[in-house]
Amino acid sequence: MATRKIMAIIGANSKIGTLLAERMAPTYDLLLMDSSSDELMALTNSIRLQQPATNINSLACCREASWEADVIVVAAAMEQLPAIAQKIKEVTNRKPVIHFSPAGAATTTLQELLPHANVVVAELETAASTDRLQKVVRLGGVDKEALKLASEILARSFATAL
Amino acid sequence: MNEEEKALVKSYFSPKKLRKKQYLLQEGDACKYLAFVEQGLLRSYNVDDKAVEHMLQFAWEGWWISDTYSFLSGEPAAYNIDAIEDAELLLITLPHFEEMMLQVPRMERYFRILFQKNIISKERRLLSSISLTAEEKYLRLQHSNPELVQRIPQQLIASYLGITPETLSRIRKTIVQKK
Repeated sequence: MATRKIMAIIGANSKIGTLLAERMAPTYDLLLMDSSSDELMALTNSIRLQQPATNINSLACCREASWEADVIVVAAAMEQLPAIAQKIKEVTNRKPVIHFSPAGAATTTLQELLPHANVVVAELETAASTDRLQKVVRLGGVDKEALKLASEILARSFATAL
Repeated sequence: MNEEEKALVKSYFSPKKLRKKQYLLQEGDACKYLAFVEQGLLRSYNVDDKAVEHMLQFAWEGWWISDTYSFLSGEPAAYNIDAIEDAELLLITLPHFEEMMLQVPRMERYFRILFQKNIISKERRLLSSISLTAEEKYLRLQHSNPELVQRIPQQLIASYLGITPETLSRIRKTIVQKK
C-alpha cells in the first residue's frame, strides 16, 4: 500500500499548471495555488467533477502548499519567481521542485533562489502562440532522484500532449 | 552548537506539514525518513488480521518517530505512522542522516544518547508489559507521562497498554473512587 504523495502546483492556472493538475490527479493529492482565486476554484471544481476520487484542494498561500507538499511544481511567470522563492524557501529544503520555464529565459535560476531545494528545470519550447500546449525540450538539475521523478511526471503528463 | 553548525544541521532536514489523520508512513512502504516533531502529535501502530490497531509509540513536540528497521534497512515497514493532531515535522533521509553525523560530530553524540535512552525506555516498556497488572501499567504511564495521558484519546492509550478500552475505563473509575 503506497502512501499517496502530495503535489503542490504553484501557478496552477497557467497552461502547464492546468495540464499537470489534470494529469496528476489520479496519482497525487493536489494542492493548487495561483493568484486568481476565481479561476483556481473553477479549475479545482472541474477536476473534482471529472475525477471524483481525487483529493484536490486550492490554497491561497504558496508557502502553506509547499510546506505540506512532497513535490512542488512551479509553473508561474518568470517575473514572479523571486517573490515565490522568497515565500517557499524555508519549506522546500531537500524537496524536489520542478520549474517550468521557457527555453533560455532563466537568467536567475530557481536553484540559486532555493539553494537547499532539489530544483529541476523543465525548459519549454518558446512557442509563438501561448494557446497551444508546449513541449519540454530539456530537463536540467543536480539531484538524481528529483530528475528521475521529473521525467516520470513529464512522461505521464505529456504522453498525449506532445 | 555554533551558528554555522546549526545552519548546516538545518539544511539536511525537509520541513513537512501533516494534517490530522494523514499518513507519514504506511505499512509495506519503505520508511524513507526519520521524523522530528516540531509541533503536533503522531503515533506508530500496527494493524492485525482482525483489523485491531496496536499502538507502538506516540511522538509529540521534541520527539523522534520512524520505523527504525525499515529506515535503516530499506525493507518494507511493519508499522503505520499517522498524525493524531495536525503536525509540523522535520524529515531526514538515511544518506543525509549519515552525512550529518560525519559533518557535525555533536549530532552523532546527540543521537547516541537519544538511542541509549530509547533502549532503556523500550526495555522498561517490555518488562512492564509482561510483568505488571493492567492497573499498574496505567498508573506507571500516568506517573511517567502525565501529558500523554491527558492528550491522547483513551482508546489509543488502552491499545498502547495492550488492554481493552473497557478495562481502561474500569481502571480509571477505580482510581477515582480510591481518591
